[in-house]
Amino acid sequence: MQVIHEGPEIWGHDRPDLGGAEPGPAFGRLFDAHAAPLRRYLARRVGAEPANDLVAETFLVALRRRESYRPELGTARSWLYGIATNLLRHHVRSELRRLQATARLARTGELSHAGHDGRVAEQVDAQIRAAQLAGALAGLSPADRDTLLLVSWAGLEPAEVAEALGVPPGTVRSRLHRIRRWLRTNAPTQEEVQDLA
Amino acid sequence: MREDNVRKIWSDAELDAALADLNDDVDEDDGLAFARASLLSAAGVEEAPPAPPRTGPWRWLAVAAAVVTLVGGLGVATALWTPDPPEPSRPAATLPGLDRPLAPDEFRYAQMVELTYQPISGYAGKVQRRVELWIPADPTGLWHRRTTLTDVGRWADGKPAIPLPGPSDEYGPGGVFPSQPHFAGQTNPTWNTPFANWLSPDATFVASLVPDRQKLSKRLTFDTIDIHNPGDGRAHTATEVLGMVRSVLEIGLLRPDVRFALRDALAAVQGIVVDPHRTTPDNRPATVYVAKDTGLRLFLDPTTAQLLAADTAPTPSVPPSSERPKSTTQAPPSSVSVRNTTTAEFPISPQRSDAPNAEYSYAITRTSG
Repeated sequence: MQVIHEGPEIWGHDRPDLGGAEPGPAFGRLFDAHAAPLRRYLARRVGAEPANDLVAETFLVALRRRESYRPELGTARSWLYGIATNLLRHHVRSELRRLQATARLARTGELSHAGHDGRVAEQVDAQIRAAQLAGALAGLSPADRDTLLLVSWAGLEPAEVAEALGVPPGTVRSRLHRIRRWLRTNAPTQEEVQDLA
Repeated sequence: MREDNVRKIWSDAELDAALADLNDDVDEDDGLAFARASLLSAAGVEEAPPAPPRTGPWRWLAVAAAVVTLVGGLGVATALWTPDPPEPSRPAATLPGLDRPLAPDEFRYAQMVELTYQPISGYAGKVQRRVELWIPADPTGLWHRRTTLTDVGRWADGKPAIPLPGPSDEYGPGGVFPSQPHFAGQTNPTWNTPFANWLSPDATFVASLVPDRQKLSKRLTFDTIDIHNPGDGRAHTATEVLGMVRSVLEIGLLRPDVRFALRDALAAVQGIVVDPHRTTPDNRPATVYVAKDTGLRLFLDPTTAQLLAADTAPTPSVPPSSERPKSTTQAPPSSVSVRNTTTAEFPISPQRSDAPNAEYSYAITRTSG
């Protein structure tokens, strides 16, 4: 079974030919198209410093493994995010620490809209909600967190998430439905946080 | 818990709003410029990288870029590599370019690095075992095999381990090493077939493998591989078949067409589950072939069918009791459950304790070690 590389004009710009003898130009374009949003996604998950290294590592792995990219199986974007997702598994602990630290802000009442005008109070409410969610996200498995945040933060369609994670699209959709139902039920409400305080 | 036992749950809108707001304060960073330059340098594009913003991790990236350039086959097929002992967690790249015909003065190099237990002075110590194999361009010539043991732990009482023996070198014409018993071609009326050297493959045995999936399937099922347990008409178990395939693939000598046919024959064996779209512990894409009876795994490169990693000892797994062979001893319990479906979830990740204990790498060299 040989891998047959088609030209970019057949597959389209989102499924480039990466297997040529001179991959530099193709990978330059790939980097320019995807590095910044990938970095932003990774920084939201594990922080800015690790995100820079992860972006670089993702593209180097992609370059090393370019022969394994199959345009007929998915977009280059989903392939890159799949590589990044695997690399993120080395950073699960630091991601959990960040989420738990954020969640503590809501629990300890450090975010308070007392004394602020309406607009600022609204912003603080949003921060409190986000901090509450952080605690619930920390309770998800890494695979569930990947699935949810690839959609919510990376902007991938469920079909692309399926390609990135190597699971059927139906699995992604059912996971999303289950995860969202669990979060809506288990994320603490503002009243509960006030009770704990 | 609220006293009225009616818990307010979030609406979809509240959940989406919170997801959008969480960690949204990410600044734009110009660190991407260095990453881009390093990538293009690794891809062979002439472009001077900017000064790195910091050391430490960026040193790794520069080294990685150099490694990719050297062995990436980017139009530099003559950039041969005489390997220094590589770090155990960083095997060399596995590339289609390694399948090219060799020049007369070149060697095929294969390396296995595994974590195992070695009996030393009455104790079982955890060691890293590296086996390197150099095969000349003409495989009927002299093969060189070097085995190196490295201590990786201390005894339970904290004392340093007893020094290990130094590297051992063996030489075998055509891959027939003096230390190994050689029964190739022997026959017996009760055996399924004449003895076949699947578990210690030499040049003659490798040449006997043809790129025919059906013929290979039959050989995997019935070839006699153990003179003490020749089969007497019994088909090999999935674990035995996995071991046969691993032994042949790990020497890195098979032609691509034979390798692909062998892979396809393995996938068709009853009791073998195929799990695509996985990765090795060092994040190389892999298709995993699992023997359901023991959980033993092979990790093959999806593009080249080269062997990337393997379990050389049974992976802890407990198959459903209805599928458990009566005569086997029970494997230790594990959080990995093996289900009878090709869509079984095998949560293999670098952080799991049941990562494959052996990793493989290959190269073309100009010296035989």
